[in-house]
Amino acid sequence: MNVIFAYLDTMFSTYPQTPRMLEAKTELRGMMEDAYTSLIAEGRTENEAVGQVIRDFGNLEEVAPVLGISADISSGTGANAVAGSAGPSGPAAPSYAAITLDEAQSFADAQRVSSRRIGLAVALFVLSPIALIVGSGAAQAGVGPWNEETASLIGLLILLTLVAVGVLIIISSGRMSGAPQRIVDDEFSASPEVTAWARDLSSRHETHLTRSLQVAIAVWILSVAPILVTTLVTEGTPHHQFWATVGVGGALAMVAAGLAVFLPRTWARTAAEKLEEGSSPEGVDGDDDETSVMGIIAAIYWPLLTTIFLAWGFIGDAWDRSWIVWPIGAVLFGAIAGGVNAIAAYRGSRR
Amino acid sequence: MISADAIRGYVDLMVLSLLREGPSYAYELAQRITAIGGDDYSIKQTTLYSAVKRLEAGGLVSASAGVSPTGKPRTYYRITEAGVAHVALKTEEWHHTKTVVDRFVTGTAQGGTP
Repeated sequence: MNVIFAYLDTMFSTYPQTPRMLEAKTELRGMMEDAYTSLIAEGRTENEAVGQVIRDFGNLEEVAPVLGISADISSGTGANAVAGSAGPSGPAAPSYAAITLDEAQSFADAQRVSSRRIGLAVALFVLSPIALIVGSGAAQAGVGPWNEETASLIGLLILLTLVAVGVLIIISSGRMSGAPQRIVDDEFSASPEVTAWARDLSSRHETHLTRSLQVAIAVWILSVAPILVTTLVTEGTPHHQFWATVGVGGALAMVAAGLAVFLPRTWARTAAEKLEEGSSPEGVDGDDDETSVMGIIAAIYWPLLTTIFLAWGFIGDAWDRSWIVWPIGAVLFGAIAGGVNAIAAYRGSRR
Repeated sequence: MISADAIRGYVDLMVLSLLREGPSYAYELAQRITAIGGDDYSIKQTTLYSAVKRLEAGGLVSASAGVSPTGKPRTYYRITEAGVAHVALKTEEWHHTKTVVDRFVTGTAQGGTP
């Protein structure tokens, strides 16, 4: 319901607060409340109801003349511009056509696909060294058909293939196929309708995001389990070293699984922040940081961790110890993500 | 779905016709128009509000403050005598309009058969 009131406030903010305008606001607010209540009574979810009420609201420029208020005042904001009508009446800086709900919808869809791909790609990066680690371990222990050189070569080829596939996926996801080009290029101005919709979208998926982060952190913490199990259980057996590398492979797979669960869920917030851009001049500065911060951290963090792990393992010949990078790295990442989310929630609550 | 532009001139008539059946308030009017319109037309709240205010300004509808069953303040609208006369006039005009436009779209204006 708050989304509806915020939407109404934004719509009316460009008009003079005359008594008749305030009366109109009160009555329209009553209509929206009634509409919301009856949609909820019909069994719609809160989010569906909010979306429907906002879609059914219409256009204040229609009301203004009836109340003796010139519609010109608001036309410069492009607040209610329909697709194709740019409304560049003000001499203000580059004014782009206001974003429409359809465009926002297809952008959000593209963002969802893109986030899923990024999740897959990052997971592939983390999975990529498994064959190398386990293969080398097997060869060293005399398990399997290959000698050490062959196993390393095959492992490296698999690593490079997975990294290449991951990079290709990331490049293709950056293109955001299906999204309106002008949204991708930032050539749009926000509209109250889309801003309210985007905030709603983001808050609707906030629970999913938090839950998937919790699952991911749990999986990351538990990722130490395969290593503990394989090293402890096989203690003293001839293939002890080999089993330790299998444990490391299992840990990596769990780290990758956590990433694959968490990263695809970030799309709603990422999309919402993009769509709201410039919509609220007050306090927008800090607000679009969190996701980009998380994105940058994730993009640098995991490859860096992989590099540290591989370098330590190869150079120091320390495969039996270097796995510690993963559980520590995962917990650290969870802490960073938790911190960023907490800051985001704090900022959100102050709005 | 009929476009808002196509039906604009008739929203006032639709509202007056509904109010002829008894006093009502904005949301109920919007809901009834959308229900009667079915898949063909659903009215935006601002469209309905503008229509009601326009009719009020023209003296075809009178507004009175009331309270909803749950105790919220609510404006009730009632058709005036001028409004009733206006509906009759406009209904007749609509029938004429429809007949004339039909003659064009069905091609009978050209002397042809549909």
